[in-house]
Amino acid sequence: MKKLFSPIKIENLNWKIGENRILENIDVEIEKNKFVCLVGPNGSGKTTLLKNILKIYEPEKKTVYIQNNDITKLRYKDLARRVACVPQNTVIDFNFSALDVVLMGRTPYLKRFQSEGKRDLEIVKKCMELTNTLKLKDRDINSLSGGERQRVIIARALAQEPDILVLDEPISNLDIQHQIELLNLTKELCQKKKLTVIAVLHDLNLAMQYSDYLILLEKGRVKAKGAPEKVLTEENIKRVYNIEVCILKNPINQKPYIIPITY
Amino acid sequence: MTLIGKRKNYKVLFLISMILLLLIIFFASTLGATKIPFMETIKVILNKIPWINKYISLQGIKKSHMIIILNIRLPRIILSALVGTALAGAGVVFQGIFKNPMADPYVLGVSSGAALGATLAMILNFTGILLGLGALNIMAFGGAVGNRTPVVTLLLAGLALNFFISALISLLMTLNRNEVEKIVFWTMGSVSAASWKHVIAILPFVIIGSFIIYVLSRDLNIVLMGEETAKNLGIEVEKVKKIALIVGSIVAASAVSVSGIVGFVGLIVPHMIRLIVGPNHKVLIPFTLVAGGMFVVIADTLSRILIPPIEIPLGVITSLFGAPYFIYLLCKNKTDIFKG
Repeated sequence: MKKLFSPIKIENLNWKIGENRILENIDVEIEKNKFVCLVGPNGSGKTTLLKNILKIYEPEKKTVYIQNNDITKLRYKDLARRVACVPQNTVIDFNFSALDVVLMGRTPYLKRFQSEGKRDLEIVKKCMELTNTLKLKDRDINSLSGGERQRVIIARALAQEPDILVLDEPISNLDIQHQIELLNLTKELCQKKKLTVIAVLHDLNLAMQYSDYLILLEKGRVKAKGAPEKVLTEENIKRVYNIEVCILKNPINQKPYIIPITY
Repeated sequence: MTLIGKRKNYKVLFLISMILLLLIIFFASTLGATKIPFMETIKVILNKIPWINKYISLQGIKKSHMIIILNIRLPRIILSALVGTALAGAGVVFQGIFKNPMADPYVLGVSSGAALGATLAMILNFTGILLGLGALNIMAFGGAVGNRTPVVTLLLAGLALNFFISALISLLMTLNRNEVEKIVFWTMGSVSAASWKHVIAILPFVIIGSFIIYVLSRDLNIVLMGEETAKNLGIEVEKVKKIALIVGSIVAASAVSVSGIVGFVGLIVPHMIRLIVGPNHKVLIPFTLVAGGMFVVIADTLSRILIPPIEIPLGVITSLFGAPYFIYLLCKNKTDIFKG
């Protein structure tokens, strides 16, 4: 039944920290099985918006709906079965093996006195295969490289068997090879596993190339939303980022390609 | 190391550690000012266990020896095991929930709060407020957690509270000179007044508390990943924090109410075990509970037999032997002891 509704619907969401208005009148509806990118300058409220979707911040009643459920009425456990998150910072201070970390993704399915069973292990193994991390399973999480660790965390998120995958700046700390690998992987998951993906990206060109739907934030408001090429226009970029750009056509995939104008 | 593949090994190891604890308890009850042969002690103890007692003959064992073992040594040893388990359990749960290696019932002021209660009780000849003051700190914690105070602030507040309460105890001592000796003994920790009554009084707190702490082990593991991640993995973080703090405080306060302040146990026992089994609470907690018991039984036995007839306060022994050993461990391990 839950599949009938749009995965995420946000109606008139406002968020304040102290006296500062971080988010104002956010209205967004996200379609199922889409790769959605959230772009905007630093401090435009992207992470705050994600935290409202993840119930890390507690939004007001009747503003955020996850599969038609008011998020304030969902228990964390129920939310965790629907929405999984790969946080901005994936550093884990404590030495758990990669497998133990991925197993934690099964937490929302376990009863209080239940320990992980065969089925959980199978799911975890599958998720680790998908993210190409199975060979790392016995390694300590802290001995992995940044890219490897990120993939382990994605495996953990997948082990939650979510319908929605949230990624907060997933590629900021990766080199170009790992950036592309990771985005390809998420795109693939979006298509194969029927996931809805919401990712915060800073690289507008990558956002343009990978997303089906784009949300451009400016000072806590939605400046534009919709098809990437309609959102990231020269005027919008000039207005939000305050830089002059020129938009060309990518010769390979014919998508728009943004270059900042410098002399 | 992956836990899931090692579950079986840990089960065996845990069984061995339980047996070791029992052996230590047996052995400790043979030691003391009155020389009682090992076999005699074993017979007296086994005679109290149903089914086995049919095969045990108590012929030739002096009545006085039986009384010494059953009514003096055994309750004291069992009490010290319970105190150790309680303090180590409180320590491991505090360290986990605060994600801070410094957290322990002593540092957080829970122990001194309970000790203030005890001191007041002694002066006023009133015994009901012991746990009450330990509970006072819980309230302080509860309030603090509700407001999502940073961990460091909470630790510093506990530390300040600790100093404040210690000052109050010192003040009470100066004003009540005739009780000084008793109070000093209390603040240094001792189980010399142990009886079966004490054992029964704290037994339910320790057993139920340890059980709850163990049940929290998965939540504690996930809280180690960071609170936001824990929420996203389905953990009701604020609720878990409150339960952990309340249970930890009650368990620690129950220990202090029978033994006074025995320092260091809650701090070092979890660290020692963490060095051996790693940071995973599912393994860490059971071994810490057992090791805490062993540690205090051994410490208390030493306090009885080192320079008889003088009894060294228990807290003195735990710190005197615990601290250098702990520093040795810190030097030996170049990696971060807390993070494994």
